[in-house]
Amino acid sequence: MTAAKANGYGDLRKAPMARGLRDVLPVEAADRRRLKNAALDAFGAWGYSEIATPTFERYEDLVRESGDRVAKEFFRFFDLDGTLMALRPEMTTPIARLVGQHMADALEPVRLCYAAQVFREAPTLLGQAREFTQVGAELVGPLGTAGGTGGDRGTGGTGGGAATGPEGADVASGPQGDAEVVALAAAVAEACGIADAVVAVGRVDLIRAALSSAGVRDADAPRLLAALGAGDLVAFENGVAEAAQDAAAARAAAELVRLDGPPEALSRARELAGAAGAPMLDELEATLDLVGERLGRVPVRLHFGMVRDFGYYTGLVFDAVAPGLGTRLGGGGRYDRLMGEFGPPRAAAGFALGLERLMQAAAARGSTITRGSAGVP
Amino acid sequence: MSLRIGIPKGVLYADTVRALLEAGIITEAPAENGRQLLVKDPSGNELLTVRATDVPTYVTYGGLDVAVAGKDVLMEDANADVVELLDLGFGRCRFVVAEPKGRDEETRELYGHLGQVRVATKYPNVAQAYYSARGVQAEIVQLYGSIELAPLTGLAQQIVDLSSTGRTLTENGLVVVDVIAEVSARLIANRSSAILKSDEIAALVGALSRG
Repeated sequence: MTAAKANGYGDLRKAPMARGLRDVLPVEAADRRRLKNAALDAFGAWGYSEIATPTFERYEDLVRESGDRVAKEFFRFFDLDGTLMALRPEMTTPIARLVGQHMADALEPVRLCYAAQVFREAPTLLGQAREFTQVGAELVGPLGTAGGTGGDRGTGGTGGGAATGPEGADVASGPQGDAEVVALAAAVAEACGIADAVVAVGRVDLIRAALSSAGVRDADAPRLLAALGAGDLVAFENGVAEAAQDAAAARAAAELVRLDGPPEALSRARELAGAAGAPMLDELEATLDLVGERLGRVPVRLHFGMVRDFGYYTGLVFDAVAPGLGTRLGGGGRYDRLMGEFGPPRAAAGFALGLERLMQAAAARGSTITRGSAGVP
Repeated sequence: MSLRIGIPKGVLYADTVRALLEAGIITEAPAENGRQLLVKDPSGNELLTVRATDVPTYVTYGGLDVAVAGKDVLMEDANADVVELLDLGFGRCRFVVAEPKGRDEETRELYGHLGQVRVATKYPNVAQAYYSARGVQAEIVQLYGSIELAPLTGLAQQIVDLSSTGRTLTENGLVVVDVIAEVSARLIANRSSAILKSDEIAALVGALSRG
């Protein structure tokens, strides 16, 4: 009988761990520390300041009507005051609240970054982690910017011109802001040892405009966008054909969402999107140019069918992928409506990358960033 | 860039191979139950024969760039996160709700007393979504084969199953009471591959659309 058993503790080595949760032991912990530092240093080099938010908050502050997290993904519980609390499933909504509460009067753009644990419930049988780490950033415009070309601002000019806010308003909204977050995502991935990361970009407002041009009623659009967001191009195409008044525009929309390629694909997009899509494509073209200026390269692919979380993003939406990694590194976009739920409306864009995903991709590339001497933290 | 293409074993195997050959995507037909599960085609693409229900998983995780999968498997697999590119048109059948002929009044009455209907199926997610959407409380019993036996043995009042000719249902005294969805073979792609190998995949879609 082992000493443990003699004491009645049983054999702890065989104690089952709750699903989706795990310990991090010294070797992995050291690797994670190095990767986190590399990411945070990269954010710092771009002028971003690290912040933290509570691990759990009031459920009502975390769940937004236009939010991208569905209610069943939240871990919820009541505290002693009887308040319904929840573990945060992502950081963008808590940061919006933070900015509303502590930086409401900021006249300059606000640049914030984080490395944080997030929590998402998953039904049984899924082998997924229920706790994981994200590194990410949010670029928030100063007061007076609600940003964007389409969306709430109706038909207007390009984002940069329409934002009639203070100096520096352009920096966080429109193409400049979009380019900064896209370039930063690529730069952070590179700092983490993934120099060949690709950012695939789309614009939800462009697809909305294309549907509108095809005569699809506003009431029918969410259903079609949901199909597209779920990756179902077949259902999208069939649905648009049914719901559209203009058959030619419907075909153009169907082709547009299948349009993938290097920045050169923009010209074909212009043909397909017509006048309604021109302002968004102008912004997108400007965005790609600005990314090139900031990085010296354009690791971007156009992926017009990308409309993930369309109720949340108002314009740019993007995924960061690493060749060889089947799942994405992370993603983000522009969400000009969110800040207004916690304070004065402001333009905002950001992204999050999964630390575990970065580690997988970095390991596959033989990166030494995560490797120190064996066993030495 | 070559593509890693998944071909589902079973009912869709022959039609998938034929479609790929006719479209010029592959030049040799891999053996469905050959010992080699991964085959390099002279075209440069890699072919894998995969258990049909595993196809969405392989594609979601990037083990395959593209694959053919039945819409039934895609609808049932709650964890699938893929891009669905094309309806290939073959493998047509339907998800149906069926019950023993002449029993619909009995089922309804039983529902009134018991507050639920017991449904046997190989597709619990599809079944649950169907009944939930109609506000009908259903107890879903998962079976793995010969679902039509369930009402015969009193295990369930209704079944949710795939039906093509309808012959199996008729032979077992069952009638279709509702059609849930039309099903056919679909071309699916991994989300990252759809970005990084978009040209090759677009060419694949084009070639298969013309067939």
